[in-house]
Amino acid sequence: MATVSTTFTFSSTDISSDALSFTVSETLSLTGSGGVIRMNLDKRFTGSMEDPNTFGERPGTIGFELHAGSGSVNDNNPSGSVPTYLYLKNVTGSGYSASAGGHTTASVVHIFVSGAGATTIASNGGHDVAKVYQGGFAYIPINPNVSYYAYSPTGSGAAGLTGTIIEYGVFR
Amino acid sequence: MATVSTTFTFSSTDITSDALSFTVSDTLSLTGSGGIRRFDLVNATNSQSAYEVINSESFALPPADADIVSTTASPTYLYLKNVTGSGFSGSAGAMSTASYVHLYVSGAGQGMVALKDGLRSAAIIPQGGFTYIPVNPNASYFIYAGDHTGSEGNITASTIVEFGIFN
Repeated sequence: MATVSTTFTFSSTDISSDALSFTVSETLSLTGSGGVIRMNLDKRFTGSMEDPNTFGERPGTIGFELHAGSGSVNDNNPSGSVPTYLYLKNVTGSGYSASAGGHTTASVVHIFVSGAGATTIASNGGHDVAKVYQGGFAYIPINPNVSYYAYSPTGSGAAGLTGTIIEYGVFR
Repeated sequence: MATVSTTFTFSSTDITSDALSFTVSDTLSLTGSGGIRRFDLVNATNSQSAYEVINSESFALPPADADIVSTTASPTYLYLKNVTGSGFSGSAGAMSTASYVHLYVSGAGQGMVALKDGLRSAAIIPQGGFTYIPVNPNASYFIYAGDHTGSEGNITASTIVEFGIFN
């Protein structure tokens, strides 16, 4: 792909609290491809489904595959272990009945990781590794050998909404 | 804590490739505590052990039902950087000798026994790299140092990390 730079800034704007402000940057030497896609999570991956309040496996079929790791039928990774980066934003859309901060009604994009399996059916994943709130984002140097899935469930974070718009990119 | 803002910028500086540049920002209304800590991950290097950066019960009360996680947990954020240190035998980009910080998630003792153990690495942070994750406050997060494949045996020096949990 290219040489790209990423910068992350964290700053407190509340002077009555402890002041905390920092910026970190890194330069990525990417050799593969990458881009950003904005999409509406398919209704198969939103609404009433796996209850995120219950500990247990996440069926691989409930999530949209953001990255296909080794073993996935969609895997097109180069051989070896190539540094790979995931950016994902939960784009606050219209039609939501609650504010972005609403605990039980706002739309939250959950991300979980799976071993991806060796068959045409995705293996079950584990606990959610990220919960991206409306308007929020995540940046993760991912493990290219496993698969990453996103879903927006009813339960702790979503209330069967009509759809959740995300934008995401995988770079390597 | 406070109202804080986070900004992430991604930009390509190579004009021979497709131009790609974007910036996203997020304002967090935090009610808990937070701060940054820098330390040596020496005890989680070449030791088959890991350092716990988030405990599943740090921000959520234990639920009445052991199989049901608490819904009282408020949004929680993890910032983690692998600080490039001296003493590494390989360059930052070397696959087998550079130090990578591996992050994995565990159920941490609640609920199903089978999922108390951790899973495969959810993030692999290279030297000088960082991650920002709105985490699942009902899970525990652990880190250890290894090479990119996860093998600890090739890492001869300790790894310096800095991280912060904001709630």
